[in-house]
Amino acid sequence: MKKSNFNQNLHAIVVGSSTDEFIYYTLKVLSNYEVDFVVCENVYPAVGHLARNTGRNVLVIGRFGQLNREKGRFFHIAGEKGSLCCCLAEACSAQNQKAAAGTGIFFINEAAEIKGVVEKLLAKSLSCSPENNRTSFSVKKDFPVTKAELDALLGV
Amino acid sequence: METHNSSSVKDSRNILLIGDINRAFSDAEGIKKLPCEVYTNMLDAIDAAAKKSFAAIAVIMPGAPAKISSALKALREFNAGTKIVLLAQMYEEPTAMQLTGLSSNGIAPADNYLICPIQTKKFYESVFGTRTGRPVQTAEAAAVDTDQQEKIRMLEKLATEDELTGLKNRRYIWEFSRQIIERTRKTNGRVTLLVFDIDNFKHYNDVYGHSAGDKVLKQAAVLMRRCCRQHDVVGRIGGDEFAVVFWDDPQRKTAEAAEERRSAMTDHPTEAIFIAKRFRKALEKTELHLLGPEGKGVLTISGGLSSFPRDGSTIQQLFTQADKALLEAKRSGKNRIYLVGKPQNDIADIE
Repeated sequence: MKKSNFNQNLHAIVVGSSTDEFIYYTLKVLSNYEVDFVVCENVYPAVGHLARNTGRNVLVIGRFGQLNREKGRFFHIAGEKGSLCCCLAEACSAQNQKAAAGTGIFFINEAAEIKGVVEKLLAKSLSCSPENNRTSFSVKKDFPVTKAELDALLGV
Repeated sequence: METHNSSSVKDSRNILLIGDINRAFSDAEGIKKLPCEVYTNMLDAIDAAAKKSFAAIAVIMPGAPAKISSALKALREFNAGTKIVLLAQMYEEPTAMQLTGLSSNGIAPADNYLICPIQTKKFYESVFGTRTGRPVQTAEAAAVDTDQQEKIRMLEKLATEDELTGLKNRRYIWEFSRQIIERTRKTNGRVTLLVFDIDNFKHYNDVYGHSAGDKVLKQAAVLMRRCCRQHDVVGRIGGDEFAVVFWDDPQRKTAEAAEERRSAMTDHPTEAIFIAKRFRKALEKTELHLLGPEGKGVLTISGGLSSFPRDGSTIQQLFTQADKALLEAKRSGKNRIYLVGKPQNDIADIE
């Protein structure tokens, strides 16, 4: 796979330990696409990075349990900043997930799905992708996407 | 992880205050008069700290210590160079001490801690170390500030510690017990109070002099401190009278503590009984310095042990019950620790 230039229009905040299989896979995908990312061990530093990256297209990635801290407050803060949260769904917290859905949060069921999410978001927000190896960037002004757009984007 | 340098200018007086102010201040209303930004949620506070620099950050410690370390780390990262002060309940002091000690990377999660409840005015003065509350700018002023901080520390020490033994004083023991009972009421835990005094202490004073008596007190204090767990609080509450407050280890899992409570012999916490036994054994093996080798096993104590909620629901009730058991132990021939309840049980009889 060819790599594009540094995809600085999208910034990913990955929450969790890099020893976690899902996080490890996510980091690999983000590295392949040269997406600017930061790894935070939990939501506390993550919320700081969210604040420091206001104005950028931010995608937060983590397991639902890791992100759903402080009574879901993290999701609210991310939502207020127009960031998207991509959570790996966990069977044990299906009810909480249902309650959290619809506030800029979307779920994936398997780690492998993160690749498609990153690809689609890059395609949506940038005019280049790893496949076409274009070097020009044109940020889509209306990013982040709405829930409906995102559903369409992800084929839900 | 990325690091950022804050570009905003540091507000010379603004404090970022995090947590439930009613839990920390005796006059919480007074906070409105101070230049504070108050957040009850840690995530909101970190969000604010990442956007703006503060002169100081004060964190009212949450009940559970598990998450506070990560949160403090994040506050440090996003408000680099800002003083972080913890506001801890008395029973949270061991955790606060850990958090203000150096970690493996040489940086402590927090810089200092204050014990609650605290007056808002005193809090502001303590955070900035000056009466005006303005951060110290010059070297001369910094020296004055350090001197003042040192005096404050000395006064705080005098207010809470027994000068002779270095143990906590009566006032501290009472306030600590009051706070820990309130906390335990919510967590369904146990608090045990041991009150003991040194048998025939008057004899040591009369025969060997008061300085010899003081040495006996110091020896008993050191020995008791050594026998206790780090989080237990040991104090001297009168002439030769001591008190120990045993409480559930905050680091310990609830399930383990519950398992221990299922003691076959007694419904008093077995850990407290075990420590009291250990103390008596240590006394038996100890030589009383002023008597030399002949002083081995001479030093004995009598005590009473009461538990919350079993023997009382307030600190007054626990002290009264423990005192009664102590008196009973004295009447029964000394050198024993009685548990509250009938029939009177010496802890030595408990397996």
